[in-house]
Amino acid sequence: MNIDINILPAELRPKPLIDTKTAVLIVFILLLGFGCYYFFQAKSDSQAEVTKMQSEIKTTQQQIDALKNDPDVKTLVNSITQLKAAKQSYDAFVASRVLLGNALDGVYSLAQGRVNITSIAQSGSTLLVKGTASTYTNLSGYASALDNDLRFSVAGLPVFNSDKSFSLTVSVELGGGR
Amino acid sequence: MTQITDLIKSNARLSVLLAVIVALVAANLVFYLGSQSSTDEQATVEKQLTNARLNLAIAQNKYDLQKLQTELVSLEGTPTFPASFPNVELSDYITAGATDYRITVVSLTPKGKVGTKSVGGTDYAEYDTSVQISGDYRAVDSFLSYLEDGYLENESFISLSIEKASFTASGGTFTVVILAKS
Repeated sequence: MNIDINILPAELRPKPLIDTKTAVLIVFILLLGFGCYYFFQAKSDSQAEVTKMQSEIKTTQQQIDALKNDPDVKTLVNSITQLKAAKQSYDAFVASRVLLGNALDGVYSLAQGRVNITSIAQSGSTLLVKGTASTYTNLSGYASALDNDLRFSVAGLPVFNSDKSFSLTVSVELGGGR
Repeated sequence: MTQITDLIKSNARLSVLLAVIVALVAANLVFYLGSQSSTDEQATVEKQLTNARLNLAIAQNKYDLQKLQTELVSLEGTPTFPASFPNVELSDYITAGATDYRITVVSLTPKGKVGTKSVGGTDYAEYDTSVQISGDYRAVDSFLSYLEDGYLENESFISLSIEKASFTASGGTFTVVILAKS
Protein backbone atom coordinates (compact mmCIF):
# COMPACT_ATOMS: atom_id res chain seq x y z
CA MET A 1 0.00 0.00 0.00
CA ASN A 2 1.45 3.40 -1.19
CA ILE A 3 1.15 6.39 1.11
CA ASP A 4 1.48 9.85 -0.54
CA ILE A 5 3.25 12.05 2.03
CA ASN A 6 3.58 15.07 -0.39
CA ILE A 7 1.24 17.60 1.13
CA LEU A 8 1.73 20.18 -1.75
CA PRO A 9 -1.09 20.29 -4.28
CA ALA A 10 -0.14 19.04 -7.80
CA GLU A 11 -0.10 22.58 -9.32
CA LEU A 12 2.56 23.76 -6.83
CA ARG A 13 4.83 20.76 -7.05
CA PRO A 14 8.16 21.32 -9.09
CA LYS A 15 7.88 20.15 -12.68
CA PRO A 16 10.71 18.20 -14.43
CA LEU A 17 12.98 20.34 -16.65
CA ILE A 18 11.67 18.70 -19.84
CA ASP A 19 8.98 16.16 -20.22
CA THR A 20 9.41 12.90 -22.19
CA LYS A 21 7.50 14.21 -25.24
CA THR A 22 9.80 17.23 -25.51
CA ALA A 23 12.90 15.08 -25.07
CA VAL A 24 11.81 12.80 -27.92
CA LEU A 25 11.18 15.82 -30.16
CA ILE A 26 14.61 17.24 -29.37
CA VAL A 27 16.28 13.93 -30.22
CA PHE A 28 14.30 13.89 -33.48
CA ILE A 29 15.46 17.44 -34.24
CA LEU A 30 19.04 16.45 -33.61
CA LEU A 31 18.69 13.52 -36.00
CA LEU A 32 17.20 15.77 -38.65
CA GLY A 33 20.03 18.23 -38.11
CA PHE A 34 22.55 15.46 -38.62
CA GLY A 35 20.70 14.42 -41.77
CA CYS A 36 20.96 17.97 -43.11
CA TYR A 37 24.68 17.99 -42.42
CA TYR A 38 25.18 14.55 -43.99
CA PHE A 39 23.37 15.38 -47.24
CA PHE A 40 25.04 18.79 -47.49
CA GLN A 41 28.45 17.20 -46.99
CA ALA A 42 27.69 14.51 -49.58
CA LYS A 43 26.73 17.16 -52.10
CA SER A 44 29.86 19.18 -51.38
CA ASP A 45 32.08 16.09 -51.74
CA SER A 46 30.43 15.17 -55.05
CA GLN A 47 30.83 18.67 -56.39
CA ALA A 48 34.48 18.76 -55.38
CA GLU A 49 35.03 15.41 -57.10
CA VAL A 50 33.19 16.59 -60.22
CA THR A 51 35.33 19.74 -60.39
CA LYS A 52 38.48 17.66 -60.01
CA MET A 53 37.42 15.20 -62.72
CA GLN A 54 36.38 17.97 -65.11
CA SER A 55 39.80 19.50 -64.68
CA GLU A 56 41.40 16.13 -65.47
CA ILE A 57 39.19 15.72 -68.56
CA LYS A 58 40.30 19.13 -69.78
CA THR A 59 43.95 18.24 -69.24
CA THR A 60 43.49 14.92 -71.02
CA GLN A 61 41.81 16.63 -73.97
CA GLN A 62 44.68 19.11 -74.15
CA GLN A 63 47.15 16.21 -74.19
CA ILE A 64 45.21 14.54 -77.04
CA ASP A 65 45.15 17.81 -79.01
CA ALA A 66 48.87 18.28 -78.43
CA LEU A 67 49.54 14.76 -79.75
CA LYS A 68 47.32 15.33 -82.80
CA ASN A 69 48.72 18.72 -83.64
CA ASP A 70 52.38 17.84 -83.32
CA PRO A 71 53.88 19.01 -86.66
CA ASP A 72 55.99 15.85 -87.00
CA VAL A 73 52.96 13.67 -86.37
CA LYS A 74 50.89 15.66 -88.86
CA THR A 75 53.52 15.26 -91.58
CA LEU A 76 53.87 11.54 -90.94
CA VAL A 77 50.11 10.93 -90.77
CA ASN A 78 49.63 12.85 -94.01
CA SER A 79 52.30 10.83 -95.81
CA ILE A 80 50.94 7.55 -94.44
CA THR A 81 47.39 8.45 -95.47
CA GLN A 82 48.52 9.21 -99.02
CA LEU A 83 50.54 6.01 -99.29
CA LYS A 84 47.69 3.94 -97.86
CA ALA A 85 45.30 5.45 -100.41
CA ALA A 86 47.84 4.69 -103.16
CA LYS A 87 48.20 1.11 -101.93
CA GLN A 88 44.43 0.69 -101.74
CA SER A 89 44.10 1.96 -105.32
CA TYR A 90 46.91 -0.23 -106.57
CA ASP A 91 45.54 -3.36 -104.84
CA ALA A 92 42.05 -2.67 -106.20
CA PHE A 93 43.45 -2.06 -109.68
CA VAL A 94 45.50 -5.26 -109.70
CA ALA A 95 42.58 -7.29 -108.37
CA SER A 96 40.17 -5.96 -110.99
CA ARG A 97 42.20 -5.88 -114.16
CA VAL A 98 42.16 -8.43 -116.95
CA LEU A 99 45.62 -9.70 -117.88
CA LEU A 100 44.90 -9.92 -121.58
CA GLY A 101 48.31 -11.13 -122.75
CA ASN A 102 48.18 -14.00 -120.29
CA ALA A 103 44.56 -14.72 -121.25
CA LEU A 104 45.27 -14.79 -124.98
CA ASP A 105 48.21 -17.07 -124.36
CA GLY A 106 45.88 -19.51 -122.58
CA VAL A 107 43.16 -19.28 -125.22
CA TYR A 108 45.62 -19.97 -128.06
CA SER A 109 47.73 -22.63 -126.36
CA LEU A 110 44.69 -24.67 -125.26
CA ALA A 111 43.35 -24.56 -128.82
CA GLN A 112 46.36 -26.47 -130.17
CA GLY A 113 45.22 -29.69 -131.87
CA ARG A 114 41.56 -29.05 -131.06
CA VAL A 115 40.26 -25.98 -132.87
CA ASN A 116 41.46 -23.24 -135.17
CA ILE A 117 40.92 -19.71 -133.84
CA THR A 118 40.13 -16.98 -136.35
CA SER A 119 39.29 -14.07 -134.04
CA ILE A 120 39.08 -13.01 -130.42
CA ALA A 121 37.13 -9.96 -129.26
CA GLN A 122 37.37 -8.59 -125.74
CA SER A 123 34.60 -6.80 -123.89
CA GLY A 124 35.45 -6.09 -120.28
CA SER A 125 36.45 -9.42 -118.78
CA THR A 126 34.73 -11.46 -121.48
CA LEU A 127 36.33 -12.90 -124.60
CA LEU A 128 34.31 -13.94 -127.63
CA VAL A 129 36.38 -16.61 -129.35
CA LYS A 130 35.50 -17.49 -132.96
CA GLY A 131 37.02 -20.11 -135.21
CA THR A 132 36.55 -23.49 -136.82
CA ALA A 133 36.57 -27.00 -135.40
CA SER A 134 36.57 -30.25 -137.34
CA THR A 135 34.11 -31.88 -134.91
CA TYR A 136 31.91 -30.80 -132.04
CA THR A 137 33.88 -33.20 -129.82
CA ASN A 138 37.02 -31.18 -130.46
CA LEU A 139 35.17 -27.97 -129.67
CA SER A 140 33.71 -29.47 -126.49
CA GLY A 141 37.18 -30.65 -125.46
CA TYR A 142 38.51 -27.15 -126.02
CA ALA A 143 35.70 -25.63 -123.93
CA SER A 144 36.40 -28.13 -121.13
CA ALA A 145 40.12 -27.39 -121.26
CA LEU A 146 39.38 -23.65 -120.95
CA ASP A 147 36.96 -24.19 -118.10
CA ASN A 148 39.45 -26.37 -116.24
CA ASP A 149 42.06 -23.64 -116.54
CA LEU A 150 42.16 -21.38 -113.46
CA ARG A 151 42.24 -18.31 -115.67
CA PHE A 152 38.87 -18.93 -117.38
CA SER A 153 35.22 -19.80 -116.98
CA VAL A 154 33.23 -20.79 -120.05
CA ALA A 155 29.90 -18.98 -120.21
CA GLY A 156 27.10 -21.05 -121.75
CA LEU A 157 27.32 -23.72 -124.41
CA PRO A 158 29.68 -23.24 -127.35
CA VAL A 159 27.87 -22.53 -130.63
CA PHE A 160 28.81 -24.96 -133.43
CA ASN A 161 27.55 -24.35 -136.97
CA SER A 162 27.15 -26.71 -139.92
CA ASP A 163 30.00 -24.97 -141.74
CA LYS A 164 32.27 -26.06 -138.84
CA SER A 165 32.56 -22.54 -137.49
CA PHE A 166 32.07 -21.95 -133.78
CA SER A 167 31.81 -19.19 -131.24
CA LEU A 168 32.55 -19.46 -127.58
CA THR A 169 32.19 -16.94 -124.76
CA VAL A 170 34.86 -17.10 -122.05
CA SER A 171 35.05 -15.08 -118.85
CA VAL A 172 38.57 -14.19 -117.82
CA GLU A 173 39.20 -14.26 -114.10
CA LEU A 174 40.07 -10.82 -112.80
CA GLY A 175 43.52 -10.29 -111.44
CA GLY A 176 45.01 -13.20 -113.34
CA GLY A 177 43.21 -16.29 -112.10
CA ARG A 178 40.79 -17.85 -109.64
CA MET B 1 -9.69 28.99 -34.35
CA THR B 2 -9.66 30.44 -30.91
CA GLN B 3 -9.31 26.94 -29.52
CA ILE B 4 -6.28 26.27 -31.75
CA THR B 5 -4.72 29.59 -30.70
CA ASP B 6 -5.28 28.70 -27.06
CA LEU B 7 -3.84 25.24 -27.61
CA ILE B 8 -0.70 26.74 -29.21
CA LYS B 9 -0.36 29.27 -26.40
CA SER B 10 -0.65 26.55 -23.80
CA ASN B 11 1.90 24.35 -25.60
CA ALA B 12 4.29 27.05 -26.80
CA ARG B 13 7.41 24.92 -26.41
CA LEU B 14 5.86 21.99 -28.27
CA SER B 15 4.75 24.29 -31.08
CA VAL B 16 8.21 25.72 -31.52
CA LEU B 17 9.72 22.25 -31.61
CA LEU B 18 7.19 21.08 -34.22
CA ALA B 19 7.91 24.17 -36.36
CA VAL B 20 11.64 23.42 -36.16
CA ILE B 21 10.99 19.79 -37.17
CA VAL B 22 8.94 20.85 -40.18
CA ALA B 23 11.69 23.24 -41.26
CA LEU B 24 14.38 20.58 -40.80
CA VAL B 25 12.40 17.97 -42.75
CA ALA B 26 12.10 20.48 -45.59
CA ALA B 27 15.82 21.24 -45.41
CA ASN B 28 16.65 17.51 -45.40
CA LEU B 29 14.55 17.02 -48.50
CA VAL B 30 16.29 19.88 -50.31
CA PHE B 31 19.76 18.67 -49.34
CA TYR B 32 18.89 15.07 -50.21
CA LEU B 33 17.72 16.07 -53.70
CA GLY B 34 20.83 18.21 -54.11
CA SER B 35 23.14 15.37 -53.11
CA GLN B 36 21.34 12.95 -55.48
CA SER B 37 21.74 15.41 -58.33
CA SER B 38 25.44 15.78 -57.55
CA THR B 39 25.87 12.00 -57.40
CA ASP B 40 24.24 11.63 -60.82
CA GLU B 41 26.46 14.38 -62.22
CA GLN B 42 29.51 12.68 -60.70
CA ALA B 43 28.59 9.38 -62.37
CA THR B 44 28.24 11.14 -65.73
CA VAL B 45 31.55 12.97 -65.37
CA GLU B 46 33.24 9.71 -64.26
CA LYS B 47 32.13 8.12 -67.56
CA GLN B 48 33.44 11.14 -69.46
CA LEU B 49 36.75 10.86 -67.65
CA THR B 50 37.01 7.15 -68.44
CA ASN B 51 36.35 7.93 -72.11
CA ALA B 52 38.89 10.74 -72.08
CA ARG B 53 41.54 8.46 -70.55
CA LEU B 54 40.73 5.80 -73.15
CA ASN B 55 40.95 8.36 -75.96
CA LEU B 56 44.28 9.53 -74.61
CA ALA B 57 45.60 5.96 -74.58
CA ILE B 58 44.35 5.48 -78.16
CA ALA B 59 45.91 8.79 -79.25
CA GLN B 60 49.21 7.93 -77.58
CA ASN B 61 49.24 4.66 -79.51
CA LYS B 62 47.99 6.19 -82.78
CA TYR B 63 50.30 9.20 -82.80
CA ASP B 64 53.39 7.48 -81.47
CA LEU B 65 56.20 8.97 -83.57
CA GLN B 66 58.27 5.82 -83.60
CA LYS B 67 55.32 3.69 -84.68
CA LEU B 68 54.34 6.18 -87.36
CA GLN B 69 57.88 6.25 -88.70
CA THR B 70 57.97 2.44 -88.82
CA GLU B 71 54.62 2.39 -90.63
CA LEU B 72 55.84 4.98 -93.12
CA VAL B 73 58.98 2.97 -93.84
CA SER B 74 56.86 -0.15 -94.41
CA LEU B 75 54.69 1.75 -96.91
CA GLU B 76 57.49 3.48 -98.77
CA GLY B 77 57.74 0.75 -101.40
CA THR B 78 54.05 1.10 -102.27
CA PRO B 79 53.54 1.56 -106.02
CA THR B 80 51.79 4.83 -106.80
CA PHE B 81 49.94 5.79 -109.95
CA PRO B 82 51.70 8.35 -112.16
CA ALA B 83 51.08 12.01 -111.40
CA SER B 84 50.31 12.77 -115.04
CA PHE B 85 49.94 10.95 -118.34
CA PRO B 86 53.42 9.68 -119.34
CA ASN B 87 52.92 10.37 -123.05
CA VAL B 88 56.52 10.30 -124.25
CA GLU B 89 57.42 7.36 -122.02
CA LEU B 90 54.42 5.39 -123.33
CA SER B 91 55.42 6.01 -126.92
CA ASP B 92 58.97 4.83 -126.19
CA TYR B 93 57.66 1.86 -124.26
CA ILE B 94 55.37 0.66 -127.04
CA THR B 95 58.06 1.17 -129.67
CA ALA B 96 60.65 -0.76 -127.66
CA GLY B 97 58.21 -3.65 -127.10
CA ALA B 98 57.18 -3.77 -130.74
CA THR B 99 60.81 -4.09 -131.79
CA ASP B 100 61.60 -6.76 -129.20
CA TYR B 101 58.52 -8.87 -129.99
CA ARG B 102 58.51 -8.40 -133.78
CA ILE B 103 55.25 -6.49 -133.85
CA THR B 104 54.42 -3.83 -136.40
CA VAL B 105 52.56 -0.85 -135.05
CA VAL B 106 50.13 -0.02 -137.86
CA SER B 107 48.59 2.97 -136.10
CA LEU B 108 48.65 4.64 -132.70
CA THR B 109 46.05 7.25 -131.80
CA PRO B 110 46.23 9.05 -128.44
CA LYS B 111 42.71 9.95 -127.29
CA GLY B 112 43.84 12.05 -124.37
CA LYS B 113 41.90 12.23 -121.15
CA VAL B 114 38.57 10.49 -121.72
CA GLY B 115 37.16 10.72 -118.20
CA THR B 116 37.78 9.65 -114.64
CA LYS B 117 37.70 6.25 -113.02
CA SER B 118 37.32 5.42 -109.35
CA VAL B 119 39.82 2.85 -108.13
CA GLY B 120 39.92 1.85 -104.47
CA GLY B 121 37.86 4.88 -103.50
CA THR B 122 40.06 7.43 -105.33
CA ASP B 123 39.25 9.08 -108.67
CA TYR B 124 41.93 8.98 -111.36
CA ALA B 125 42.10 10.54 -114.80
CA GLU B 126 41.77 7.98 -117.58
CA TYR B 127 43.92 8.36 -120.69
CA ASP B 128 43.19 6.15 -123.71
CA THR B 129 45.45 5.34 -126.62
CA SER B 130 44.14 3.26 -129.54
CA VAL B 131 46.68 0.92 -131.06
CA GLN B 132 46.54 -1.21 -134.19
CA ILE B 133 49.23 -3.85 -134.62
CA SER B 134 50.12 -6.68 -136.92
CA GLY B 135 51.97 -9.85 -136.01
CA ASP B 136 51.28 -13.53 -135.37
CA TYR B 137 49.35 -14.52 -132.29
CA ARG B 138 52.38 -15.64 -130.28
CA ALA B 139 54.06 -12.31 -130.88
CA VAL B 140 50.82 -10.51 -130.00
CA ASP B 141 50.47 -12.48 -126.73
CA SER B 142 54.05 -11.73 -125.74
CA PHE B 143 53.72 -8.07 -126.69
CA LEU B 144 50.54 -7.63 -124.64
CA SER B 145 52.13 -9.40 -121.66
CA TYR B 146 55.12 -7.08 -121.98
CA LEU B 147 52.83 -4.04 -121.93
CA GLU B 148 50.88 -5.33 -118.94
CA ASP B 149 53.99 -6.28 -117.00
CA GLY B 150 55.60 -2.93 -117.70
CA TYR B 151 55.18 -1.77 -114.14
CA LEU B 152 57.88 -4.19 -113.07
CA GLU B 153 60.46 -2.00 -114.74
CA ASN B 154 58.87 1.42 -114.80
CA GLU B 155 56.47 2.87 -112.26
CA SER B 156 54.89 5.02 -114.97
CA PHE B 157 52.96 2.03 -116.24
CA ILE B 158 51.71 0.37 -113.07
CA SER B 159 48.22 1.63 -113.93
CA LEU B 160 48.28 0.34 -117.49
CA SER B 161 45.54 -1.96 -118.70
CA ILE B 162 44.39 -3.15 -122.10
CA GLU B 163 40.75 -2.85 -123.09
CA LYS B 164 38.46 -3.16 -126.11
CA ALA B 165 40.82 -5.63 -127.77
CA SER B 166 40.03 -7.48 -130.96
CA PHE B 167 42.44 -9.89 -132.63
CA THR B 168 42.74 -12.11 -135.66
CA ALA B 169 45.57 -14.46 -136.59
CA SER B 170 47.51 -11.59 -138.15
CA GLY B 171 47.12 -8.83 -135.55
CA GLY B 172 44.43 -6.62 -134.11
CA THR B 173 43.42 -3.48 -132.30
CA PHE B 174 43.27 -2.55 -128.63
CA THR B 175 43.15 0.43 -126.33
CA VAL B 176 45.92 1.13 -123.84
CA VAL B 177 44.37 2.69 -120.76
CA ILE B 178 46.56 4.51 -118.25
CA LEU B 179 45.23 5.95 -115.02
CA ALA B 180 46.99 9.03 -113.65
CA LYS B 181 46.46 11.36 -110.71
CA SER B 182 45.71 14.27 -113.01
